[in-house]
Amino acid sequence: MRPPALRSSAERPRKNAPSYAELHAHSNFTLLDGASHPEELVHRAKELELCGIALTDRDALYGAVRFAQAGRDEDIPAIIGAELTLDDGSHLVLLAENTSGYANLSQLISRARLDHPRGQPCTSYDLLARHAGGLIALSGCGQSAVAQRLEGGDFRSACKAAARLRDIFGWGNFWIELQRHLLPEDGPRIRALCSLAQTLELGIVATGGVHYAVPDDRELADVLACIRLKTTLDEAGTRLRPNGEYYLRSPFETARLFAEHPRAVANSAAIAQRCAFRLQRLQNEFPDFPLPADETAFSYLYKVVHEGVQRRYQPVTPAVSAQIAHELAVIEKLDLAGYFLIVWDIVRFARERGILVQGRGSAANSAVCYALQITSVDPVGLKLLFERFLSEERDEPPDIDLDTPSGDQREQLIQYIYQRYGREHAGMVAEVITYQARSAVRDIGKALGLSLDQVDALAKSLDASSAANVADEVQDIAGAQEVSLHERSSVSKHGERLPLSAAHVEAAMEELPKPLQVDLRGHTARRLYDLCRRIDGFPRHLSQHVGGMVITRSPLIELAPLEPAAMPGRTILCWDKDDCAVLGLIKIDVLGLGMLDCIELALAEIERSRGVKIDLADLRACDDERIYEMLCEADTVGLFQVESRAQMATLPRLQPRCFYDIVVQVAIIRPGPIQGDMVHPYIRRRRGLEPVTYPHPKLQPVLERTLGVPLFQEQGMRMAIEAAGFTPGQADELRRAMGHKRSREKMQRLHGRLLEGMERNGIARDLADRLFQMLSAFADYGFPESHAASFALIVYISAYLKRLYAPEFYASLLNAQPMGFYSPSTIIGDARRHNVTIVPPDVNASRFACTIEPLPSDPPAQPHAQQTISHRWKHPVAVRIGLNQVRGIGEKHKAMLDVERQRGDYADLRDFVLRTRLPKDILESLAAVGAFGCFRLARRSAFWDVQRLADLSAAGALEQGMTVDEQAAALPAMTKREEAAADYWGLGLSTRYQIMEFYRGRLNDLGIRRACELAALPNRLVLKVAGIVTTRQRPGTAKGFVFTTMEDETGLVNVIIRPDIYQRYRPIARDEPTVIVEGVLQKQDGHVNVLARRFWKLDNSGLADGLQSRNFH
Amino acid sequence: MRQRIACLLIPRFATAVCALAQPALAGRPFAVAEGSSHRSIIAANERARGVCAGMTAKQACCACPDLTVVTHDEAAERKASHALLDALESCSPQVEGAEPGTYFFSARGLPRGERDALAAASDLASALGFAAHTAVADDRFTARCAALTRGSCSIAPAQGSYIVPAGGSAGFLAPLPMTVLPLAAGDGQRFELLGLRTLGQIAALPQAPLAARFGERARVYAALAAGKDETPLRPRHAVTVHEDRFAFDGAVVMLEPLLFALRGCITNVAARLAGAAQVCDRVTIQLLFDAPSGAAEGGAQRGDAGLHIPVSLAEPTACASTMFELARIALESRNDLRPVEAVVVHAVPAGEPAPQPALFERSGRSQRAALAATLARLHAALDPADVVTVQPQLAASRLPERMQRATPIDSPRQFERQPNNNKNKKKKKKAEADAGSPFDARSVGGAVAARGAAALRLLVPPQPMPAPDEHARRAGPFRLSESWWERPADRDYYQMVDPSGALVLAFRDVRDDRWYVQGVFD
Repeated sequence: MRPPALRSSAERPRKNAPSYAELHAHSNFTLLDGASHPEELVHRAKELELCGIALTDRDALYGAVRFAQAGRDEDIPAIIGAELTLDDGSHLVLLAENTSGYANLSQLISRARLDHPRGQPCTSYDLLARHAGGLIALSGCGQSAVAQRLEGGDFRSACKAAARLRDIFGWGNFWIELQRHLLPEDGPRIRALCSLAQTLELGIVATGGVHYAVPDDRELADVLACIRLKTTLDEAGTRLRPNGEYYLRSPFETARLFAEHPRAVANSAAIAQRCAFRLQRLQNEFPDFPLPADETAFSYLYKVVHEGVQRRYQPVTPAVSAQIAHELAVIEKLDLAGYFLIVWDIVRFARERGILVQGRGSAANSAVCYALQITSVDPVGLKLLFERFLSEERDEPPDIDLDTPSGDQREQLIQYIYQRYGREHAGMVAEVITYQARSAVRDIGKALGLSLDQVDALAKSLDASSAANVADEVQDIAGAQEVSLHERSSVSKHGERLPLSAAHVEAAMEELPKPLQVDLRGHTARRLYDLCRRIDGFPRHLSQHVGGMVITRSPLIELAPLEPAAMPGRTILCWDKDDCAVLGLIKIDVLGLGMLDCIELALAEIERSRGVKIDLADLRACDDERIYEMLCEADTVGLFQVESRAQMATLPRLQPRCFYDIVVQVAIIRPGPIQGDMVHPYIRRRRGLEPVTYPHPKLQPVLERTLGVPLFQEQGMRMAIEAAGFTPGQADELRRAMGHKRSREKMQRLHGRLLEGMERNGIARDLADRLFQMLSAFADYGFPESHAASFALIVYISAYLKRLYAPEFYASLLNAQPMGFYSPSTIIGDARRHNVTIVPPDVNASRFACTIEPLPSDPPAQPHAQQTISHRWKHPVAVRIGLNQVRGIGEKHKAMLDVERQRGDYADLRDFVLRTRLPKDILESLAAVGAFGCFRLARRSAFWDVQRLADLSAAGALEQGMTVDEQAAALPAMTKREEAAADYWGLGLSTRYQIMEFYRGRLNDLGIRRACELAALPNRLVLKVAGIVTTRQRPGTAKGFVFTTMEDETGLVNVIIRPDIYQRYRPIARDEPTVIVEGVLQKQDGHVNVLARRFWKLDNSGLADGLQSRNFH
Repeated sequence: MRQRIACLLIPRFATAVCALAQPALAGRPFAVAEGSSHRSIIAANERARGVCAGMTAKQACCACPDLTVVTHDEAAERKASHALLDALESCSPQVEGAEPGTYFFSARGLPRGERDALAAASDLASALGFAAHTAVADDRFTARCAALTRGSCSIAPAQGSYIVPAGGSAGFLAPLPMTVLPLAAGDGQRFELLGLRTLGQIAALPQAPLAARFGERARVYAALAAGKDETPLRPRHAVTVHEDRFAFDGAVVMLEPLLFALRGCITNVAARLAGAAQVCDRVTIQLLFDAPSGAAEGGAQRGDAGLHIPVSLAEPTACASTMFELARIALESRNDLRPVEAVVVHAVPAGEPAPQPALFERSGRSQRAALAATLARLHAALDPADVVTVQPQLAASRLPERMQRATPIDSPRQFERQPNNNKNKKKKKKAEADAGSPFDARSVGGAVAARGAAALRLLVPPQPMPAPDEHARRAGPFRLSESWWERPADRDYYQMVDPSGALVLAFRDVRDDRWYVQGVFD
């Protein structure tokens, strides 16, 4: 409810309203304070017919790019500014009048952040004086130096403060700011400020001190304040703003508020007019690459490319030469030689240091990149389209992403870039972490006064990623709870027996889910959903992008504010990658890829343990039949990209037999082909179940390799080229226009041109329309062929290692965790099924990481092993679980453990404790998982002794040397179940047991099938299976279907859950670690699924507490 | 001879007491919360699913939508405990109230045997409205465990009582889970990993190695697990009602002789209390009239035995002058007295006597006694709910009526200086500093006061007033809009001169467009 007397005037602008520009407005990039997006402020300003608006977020320009873009879109002057915190704690508003002012503002903010502890930026007056050029200063809000002194009743001191700022910025550039929020102190303060302005002959200007666009956003602002202050609405009290008057006002309303000071309102418009600087695309910001004498960037590139061509192509065919010449011509024309040299230089550095590196994405379309060893697949051989990567028509720099092992190697590359171009010219791109469903529920729930347990329970129950969808999803959860209650009543009322009510198991199974601790339809909950919807997409904090780096010619500090990253030795830019792209900043992504880590570790381990040095270049032919056999059998747990449920389901049907088949396999299970209904036609054609046809004969060369079904973005572009006579550049323009941010105008223009071209080529209108629809279906969501080819190479290498060097592969896969689809426990299960022996951690046998070690004798074959390893060792080997897998042990212990291990074996537990000085909780974990077995200590005895010895390392030398003769304690020996529980607790996996073994007897009584039996059972059979849930997927393209993988002691079971079944059994299907499923067996093309009909929780008595499924919602 | 200790346990005692006091709660989910603002839930009944101790009332209501939150009534709980202990004294001369809902009594040498004693104790609790579990054993811990596990069919008979035979504590405790021990954080999980899941296993461990690993507390675990809890029974003091009476030769009609007699009675009662090192927090004066009369007034009970006038003391005392002063005030304030034939003074001892003051310590007892007397006078003269302290809540709200909190005064100890807590001071200072920005008026009236204008006298609640003339001189509006999520307030404040010429603080409630006077500037 708003008071009508004052509000009515704000509803719409009046005729003859005075000119007014809002010069002091905070967006939600004044983190956890402002409550509107920059775009909302601009849009509202346009609605209110303001003659300009300035964004003045506190000590930041985070929202400046979005704000500037919105200003351009709405055609309203968008003034870039900021509210700075000065070193006396006061606030000061600065507005960029011109380019030099912007550069100064950027430097001021950078220094405020770089020179002070994180989160406490402040600017000194001296610095302000050095960078005052081109800036207009407003005295600020109630927290300004001037206002604070006036409030203290010290007029003389206030004058001094104002005069100091006037002297810094100069006459006409420092203004006294008047704000009125209907507070009692407004009147006296404004009178005092006017008096001061008169005394010092300063101008006055009216501002709104805006924190949100419309009055309704006040609620969100209060909640954000509570989040910032870590309190609840009930307890925040006067720390919240006293009223909701901090919104964007119309010129008329502002004029009425400042009726006594019309000049202040008019001045706002005058200042806005002076601030002509607009943040827009930067030109010629390309950094200089250090060149040898007498070389230009292009001549040098030409030289290194041709050297690379000789190395990569043998022989160099005319097609290769022509492609290279074409690409170099484009690069020269676009003046991008320096860019290619920069990336080449980084790759060269990586190779010199033995760091695996490979370009991904559209760069693989470029033969130049292949010659420079930036990418690893031959675009000429694969007939890839260069224009998908770079074209003359494209008005943006190319994007090259480099994949490299995560961790140290990636850091080396990043530090190399810093060192090569200097910290003034290179910086990490920021990543704005925005509110998503779970974070919104957690933060807002706490602000509303819910307990931590309540918000945690509610947040964990959500699958939705967008906070805007919380309310919808909660409907499902509430529905599931009601269904459960209904089922309970029907059981008791009609005496229905559950199918699994065998007396001895009934107690172990519980059908009903435990309720959430929140009434999902209550008043507080409804308020929570509403606020979640409104906070969706709000920035929460800034983080650094995983690997995006910007390199510039001008000092970066003048282009955008920098700030220190949480990681030492890094500085980050204030904008995310989209903002950088909008401004045309050159960005290079150095991305950590877990599988490259795994490959690198595996290669090293193979060399260490077998003395075999594998050169990945030798694998480039990708022609080992054994690898394709393995892929055809979907034996892909742990492989790159093809280990997901959907990939596993498709592999036996696609039967990949060559490298290009893997390229297709990587690309086909993607939103584009799935949404465009291209997967099944392709599979049918591949299997010969339907004829290969083409929409038009002209398209046959384009679609031939994919059997007439367009799968790749490049094919879409080629279709436009062949069918409509587009140039490659125009085709790329079409692809981008059809992308996420569709421009209607552009689309209409291109659509018309496309139809015209097709008509010219004799394609009938209806077919032309059909082709257009086909193109638009996957133009953006489709996968680039080049990217798929880059990934396919890694798929092949990972499959090669798994097939031929399985022990090393599994060991490396465990060391590279977390990555991929499966948990270490599932990986261990897969290894055991492949006859790879896994031995538990042992302090005298294990290294920090998992390693290979010889076994004393040939171990017995696993009963359910799928195949034996062909490339056998001369003597049996095993994967020794490393100490890094033990609960509590992390990277910080690596150096110490390795050093101590090199000093020789530990004599006994006391020796281990004294040498390693590990804390008690880690010693307990080691004892629990049996890592002290080498001292002939049973797990419990070791745990018992750890209790006494854990503090020994802190004791004096005398005590350390004393031995105590004490009465032995009779501790019960661990049962197998207890050992398994201890393994899962301390390791997250068990090398000896699989939980389902312990239930098999009882499960057999109930007729529950094992995973290994399913392939032999008839199709459509209704059966029950049980297992540990290893993965859960709910892809956005699956229309609510959920795909779950369960594991028992014999293998994996794929379960498909229909949306209605998922809703009914949601708490069990979604959250329980061990379940029993009743369903219908579905067998197709060698792939086996169970279509779920019913779920039961399988009570594992805490045995699976250490397990967590990997969920991909 | 070994001691035998019986335990009477009432599960969810706090809720059981509330259910007795408010029968309307029967069959409904409800929770007991501390304080009038229901800051923290301390117990909930079985129907209140999802409600846990420690939640705020809001959180509890969010978890259980039909929940009723009632205020924790410590006095009722104490009264129920006293009643239970009084009742148990008929079973055994030595009874102990260990904690609300858990009571022990000595079962050694009882004439009717242990089984009958337990049955009698259960019946007594039942008669008072409580469902109790009872058990007897050689020590307190075993007796309590036996009472606790009574519901477990595998351990105890279904009768509601359990007798652990003499010397059988260890055997009884052996199969019980170790979680019944008062374990330190982390010890439970460690015992679990060691495979020590029952008390028997812990009792069987050698004590020295156990203590070497888990510290001295492990010896306590071992002793408890072995049924060797040596904590003695601490029987409560026998309660004797001190009474003194004075019978007049003939009915007196004047107050002076009545007070003269009363002083003597009170002095005697106080002397007896002091002699027994006891104090009381309430005396009752019984006036016997020469003939029965009508209904009682003013909190007194009138019956065949005459008029009972309760006199509450602000804090437990044995001071005759304090008691007499308050009794005199109570009598003088009455206007229903008739010719009195006799006066009787009853004093029930309550609480622990005040500690012996140190020789050179300023105990402040005399000041406290004086304050107690003053408070008691106020309590006698006013409704006790009206005797409050008003504490400013500057950081809580900007609405004038929410900027202060009235707390009823029960004891003069409330005025005593709290221990110096710098941390809290800093917090408070910070909160006040935060409160100052950006609306540093404290209140609309406060802003004026801070500038040296007249102080604002609040009208509680604000008084409705007619909408003022549009041309009337007024300063404002100053807009306050807060608590949009609960008890929302949207007000436009004005300072104006009312028709009587007084400067007032008035507001227009934006939500209903009505005008109110909030206060007057004196």
